[in-house]
Amino acid sequence: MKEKYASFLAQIVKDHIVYLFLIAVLIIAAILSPQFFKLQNLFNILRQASALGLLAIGQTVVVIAGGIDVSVAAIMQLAGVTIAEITKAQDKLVFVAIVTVLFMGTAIGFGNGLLVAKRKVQPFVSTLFVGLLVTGLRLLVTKATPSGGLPAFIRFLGSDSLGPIPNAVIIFGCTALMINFILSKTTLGRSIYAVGGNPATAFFSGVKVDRITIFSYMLCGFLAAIAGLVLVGYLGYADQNIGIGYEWDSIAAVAVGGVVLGGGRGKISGTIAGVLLMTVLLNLVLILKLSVEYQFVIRGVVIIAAVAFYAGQWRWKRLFLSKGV
Amino acid sequence: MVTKKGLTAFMAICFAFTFVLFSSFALAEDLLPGMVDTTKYKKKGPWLAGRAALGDTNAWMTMFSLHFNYGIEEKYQKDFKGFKVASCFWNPVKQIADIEQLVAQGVDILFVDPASEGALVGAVEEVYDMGIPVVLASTGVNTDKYTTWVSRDNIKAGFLYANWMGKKLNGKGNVVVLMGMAGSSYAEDVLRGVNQGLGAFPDIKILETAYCDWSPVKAKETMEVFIQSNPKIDGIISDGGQMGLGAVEALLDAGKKIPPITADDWNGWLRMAKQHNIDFLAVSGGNPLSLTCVQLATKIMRGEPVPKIVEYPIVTFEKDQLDQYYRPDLTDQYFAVHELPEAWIKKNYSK
Amino acid sequence: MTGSSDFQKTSSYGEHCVQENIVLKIDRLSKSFPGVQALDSVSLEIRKGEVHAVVGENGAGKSTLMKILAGAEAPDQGTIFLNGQQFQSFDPQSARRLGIGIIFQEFNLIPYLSAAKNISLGREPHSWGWIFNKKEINDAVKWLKEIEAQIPPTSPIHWLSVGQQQQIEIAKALSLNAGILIMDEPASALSASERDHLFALIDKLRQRAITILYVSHSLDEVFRVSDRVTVLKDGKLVYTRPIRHATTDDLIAAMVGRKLDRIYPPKAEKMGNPILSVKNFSSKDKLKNVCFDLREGEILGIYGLVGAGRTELCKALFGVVSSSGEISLHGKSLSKRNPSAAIKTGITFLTEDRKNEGLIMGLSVRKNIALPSLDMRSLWGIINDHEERRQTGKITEKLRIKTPTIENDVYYLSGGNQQKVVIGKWLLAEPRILICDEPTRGVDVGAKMEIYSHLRELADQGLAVILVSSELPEIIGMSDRILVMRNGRIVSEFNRAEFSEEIILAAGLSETHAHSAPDKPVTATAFQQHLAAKLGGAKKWIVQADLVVFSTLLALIAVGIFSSASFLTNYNITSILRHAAALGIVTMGQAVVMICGGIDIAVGSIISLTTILSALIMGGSNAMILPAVFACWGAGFMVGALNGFAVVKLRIVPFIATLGMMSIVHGIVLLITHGPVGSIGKLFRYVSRGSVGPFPSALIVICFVFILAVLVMNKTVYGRHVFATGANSEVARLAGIRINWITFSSYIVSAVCAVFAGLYLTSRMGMGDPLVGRGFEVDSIIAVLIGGVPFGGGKGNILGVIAGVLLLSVLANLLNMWNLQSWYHQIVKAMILLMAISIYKGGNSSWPLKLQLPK
Repeated sequence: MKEKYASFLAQIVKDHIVYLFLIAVLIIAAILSPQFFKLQNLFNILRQASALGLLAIGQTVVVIAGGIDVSVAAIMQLAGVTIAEITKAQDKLVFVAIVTVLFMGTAIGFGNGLLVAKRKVQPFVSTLFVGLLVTGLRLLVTKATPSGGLPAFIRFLGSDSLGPIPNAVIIFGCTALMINFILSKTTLGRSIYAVGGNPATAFFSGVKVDRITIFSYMLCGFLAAIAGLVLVGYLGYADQNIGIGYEWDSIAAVAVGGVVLGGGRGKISGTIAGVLLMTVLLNLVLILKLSVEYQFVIRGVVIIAAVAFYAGQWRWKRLFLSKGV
Repeated sequence: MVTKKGLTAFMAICFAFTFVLFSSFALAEDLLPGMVDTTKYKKKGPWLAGRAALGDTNAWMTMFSLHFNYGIEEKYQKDFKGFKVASCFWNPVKQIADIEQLVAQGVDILFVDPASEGALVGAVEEVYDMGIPVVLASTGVNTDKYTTWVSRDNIKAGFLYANWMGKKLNGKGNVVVLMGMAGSSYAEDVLRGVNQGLGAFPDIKILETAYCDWSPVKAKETMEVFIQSNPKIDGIISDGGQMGLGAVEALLDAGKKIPPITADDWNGWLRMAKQHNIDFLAVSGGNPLSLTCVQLATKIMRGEPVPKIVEYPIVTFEKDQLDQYYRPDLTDQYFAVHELPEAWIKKNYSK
Repeated sequence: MTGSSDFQKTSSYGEHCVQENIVLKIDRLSKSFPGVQALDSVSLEIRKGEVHAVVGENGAGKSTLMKILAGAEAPDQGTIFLNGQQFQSFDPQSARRLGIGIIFQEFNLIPYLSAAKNISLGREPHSWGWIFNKKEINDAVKWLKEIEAQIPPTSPIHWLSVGQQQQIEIAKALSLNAGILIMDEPASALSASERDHLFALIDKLRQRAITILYVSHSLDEVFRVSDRVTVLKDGKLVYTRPIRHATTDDLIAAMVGRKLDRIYPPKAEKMGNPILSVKNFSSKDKLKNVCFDLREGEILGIYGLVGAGRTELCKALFGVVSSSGEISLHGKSLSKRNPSAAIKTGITFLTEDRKNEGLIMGLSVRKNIALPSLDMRSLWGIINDHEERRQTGKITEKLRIKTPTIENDVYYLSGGNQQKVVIGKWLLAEPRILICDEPTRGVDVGAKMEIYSHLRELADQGLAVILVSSELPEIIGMSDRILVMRNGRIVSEFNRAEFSEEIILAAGLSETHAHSAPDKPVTATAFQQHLAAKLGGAKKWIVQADLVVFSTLLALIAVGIFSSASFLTNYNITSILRHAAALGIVTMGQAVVMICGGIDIAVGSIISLTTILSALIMGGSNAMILPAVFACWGAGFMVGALNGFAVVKLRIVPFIATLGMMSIVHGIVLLITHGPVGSIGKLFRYVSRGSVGPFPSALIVICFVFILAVLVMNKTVYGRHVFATGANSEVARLAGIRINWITFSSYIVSAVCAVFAGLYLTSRMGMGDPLVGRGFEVDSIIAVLIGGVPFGGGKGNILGVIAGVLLLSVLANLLNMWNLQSWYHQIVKAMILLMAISIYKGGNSSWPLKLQLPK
């Protein structure tokens, strides 16, 4: 019995290790760059992190449900350039454009979900290739040229602030709260954990596994589209350079945040800590005046470390299993 | 025995000989140093043109391509029967394959905006040796085997940036440098010019140099970090208005004052400069040089000599001349210094 | 294992064995698993050349005994002597070396290889790695002839029937000089004629003094084929006797008949109204026309041997599998057949496999219990936490589930308590019918009792319980009525008064061949075999799935020729070849990794690294060409080794391991340089731009690489082993193949191929470029996939992959020719990829397990 308590404790520490790392990294950052803790700067960092944060929230839901979505950055980029292309920096068509973009993201998510749930393709692989397809579509839509500026409303969403808090952060925060509520307090959320924890058991318990899976991808696609709007709103310009590498950052944030890459465990709060950790880490590279390429190395190392850390868990084999009962 | 008759004959022969010599020189004199003899390329038109392009990944490239299209489809349309374009998106290996395939399709003349001066050498030389004229646009290639090369004097551009900045800052201050694509001689040349120019102002320090691919997005992200680690930035030398835009956005976000910035004639930059009353120097980007390429192509195909290297002239202006160049009725992607007819401008850049 | 004091014993036992012609002696073998004593001091002597049957009902210990003999398990106590020598270690290799061959119900064969290749797996006749195909085939023919099997030695075995595959297994065992053959339920999957063949074969083997251990449920088979029979019951040996001294009744009586050591709750006084009525209920071909009724307050037991269809019945009732026929609940017909509909109408199902189908590890007791009935405690989707806690707490108390709190992870509970959680979760769903499949399996006696009383209590409250169990005492003790199933039908029904272990067991055993598997008309198979035989030789390679690739390739070429006059020009073809060269080289490496079951995403960045390193080191001088090449090999070797290490030793799934590596190498490359650098020695240029006679060097490079790949993969031991490891690493391991080394080396091969591709590109460009490699990883994977090698490997042929490479190159050329922009290209490629992976629907669902190499 004692050992069970010990392992219980170890489990708690393991689950919350991301907060320790975050605090450590924040301290390092503050030491190296004294103006780090200025409110303006912190809000700036949060604003920069918002797009990634939205992606990571969507990714969290998919991962808890036992999958993974590598196409999120492609969806985000497509959303960003599409809104610029449709509105041509004018406010006239903004709302139509927003609806179109959100619909697009959800539809791509639906496609992802179908492939995984119905055709039983491994999620990592299928979303990777859907991402390639979406990137191709993006290049097609923009003819690989820059899309230009954004309408004022989008800039309002991404850049401006209501009072002291940037809008992007508000959007991020509200979304996080909402999804957290769904995950922890609703039957839908409970079903998502069940499907990720053990799809066979969930199925035998009456959970509609396929529907939940497809839903998780649709939600992820939807949030990716919103992330795209926030991102280009913040950057002020949409070209082919937006959001590069964000899918790996979202996976790293999720993995590091304790959402086990196999499903059934994890919380939004962990993801948020993971997002902040990734953002500050990547920022740290530049503050330390290291070449930006070190960011690639960091991404790779973080992913491998987080995965190896949890690799003992049997659960995450399922990431590459076809989703079948 | 030297007779009078013999001497005259001798002198006549010498004279004739000299005459022939001189006249051949005179004829050859059309080929001034720096000119290329293109008689072997003479071909009856209309001709099939091919372009191994980089890909229109930024606004400069887009207008650059527009000038190509305008030249071939309108201005010199009688001379060309077709225009095949292959884009490699900055991938040299793909560009090599593109060149080979354009040649396989039987183009009469090849335009290349090279993805890499070194990697393209073999491909360009092979085409040249096959007897197809090669026109290099903007970036060059490390070989002599091309017909003509048109570009902006990038060293001069860099010098102009540095010189202006030095004077603006009264010889003292910290600057940040934003360049285009790393590893290309384009950026190297600009940097060389910058350093040359700053040589006259020893108290000006370069805090950071970054390569932002002429993307406002990258420039903004980069500037954010620079601002964080360098609280006092006195000036920004940016090889392009797009990067300038991004840099300014970052400064505005951080609540900092906007220092003097060098940029180019990009409309988005001009809009930003007007909006925030920015002190700037615009050095034209030179994308219309592609039209010059097309013009030279017509000459080549007619066998007329062309210069080996052509410099496209640089235009500069500052904020007091802003309104002469800024077009608020057009999108950000427009460049003020261009050679397109208004119809084309309206079609492509109207809001 | 045993001390030196037993040394004397050993030698005298040895003599004793030789005298009595005893080939296998088992002495007081015991083995227990949590909750059950599988073998209890079993002692047995097997004579050389006899066919010795081992019978017993489910759980008697037959499988455990066989597994120990085959080296798959180690006993807790006891010793085994083979030909007088004591077993030292228990692992499959040792067992095989000692001459024990075992033929399980799941064959240890590699599906896409031929009979000859399977037979020689792990011991291919070769010289320096080059396999002697002819000898291999001749050997196979020899062994197949020995057992009089009519099997073409060169057709892939997945075209053969079950019976034929079994024959190959037997031939393989014989070729390994098996002196003892253990057969576990060999005849159960065979058709009538195949069964006869098998028996004839067994007779033959007996004549050759090969000992056979025959484990079976079918007493008929036992009587037909064996010399002596041993009966096991509850892990103990009951008796061994010559078959002619045994009768069916004796055997059955020996298999059952226990003291009642448990107390079952008193049965129902009276039964309520019929609640469930099932008529003409069938499911696929596992359930045939089942009819029965179920009454309120009744516990209906369903008995049958493994394979009788009991679990299938439960699943069909619950809606997990599709079914036809009628189910009516309280007179109302149930049309929607899926789990959530079933739960809503009050039918619940406690599965056999609680770990994998009954519980969600990682979730708390509370959440597990609450799962099927979430809707009952939620308003508009929001769960009433308080109510949930209250109700789950109550159930936990009622069932006496031992756990510190209900928030504890179920993972930490004991087997019995876990089972109670599963019961609890269904109770909370307010069921009307509870279907239990082996509810007390793996549960200690105390918990068993509690479960029994809970079940009876539920029945008394008006529920109806269907109890599926293999334990005769349990089912007799608990049920009010018992149905016996056999081969998907209900064959008998017994009332309480008629209960007796012998009768019920007898009803469950198969008695006649009447329901054996029909002789499958081997139509498609025959055609393919016929076709293959006709085409013979090299062409048979193409008859497989590669047909699609080749025809698409030809179609594309045709399109090219028709759409442009310049397609077939020397220049254009050379251009295609030059482009295909780099892709072809790297794809060969990727094919090796993927056939082995892995994937390598790092190849693109390895290519970039190679171009940079080689160009920098060469620095324009010819003298430095060789050092540069060696340096690049070294770097590639290292990266490949790191990949292999991460996959094999750290057991990180290949996708992630190579992805992480890609990121790291990419970062390193960009740290070295941002843009193109370096330059090559002039001679090096000839690699890509030279020519030998009329042939461009690209063509020579391609031909060389392709031919090498074909030879290695199809004709060498290494290639064969790669294939086997990818197809079924367990089978490969048992055949003696060093799967860890093979997997590790495949990543090195892939990295080195990437290096060669990079060197080629360096020659083409004349310098190095940090971004040149991007896209190669995706392209090489696409080429392999469309070439017929699915994710998970073990299938497909390198020729198909070559066709895939050419297809992609021609496609690129065509797209360029039509002046289509590169994003169309990307879209087309992505769509091809997506189609390819969705065609291989759930293709290899055991893929991840292969990557997790066995401990």
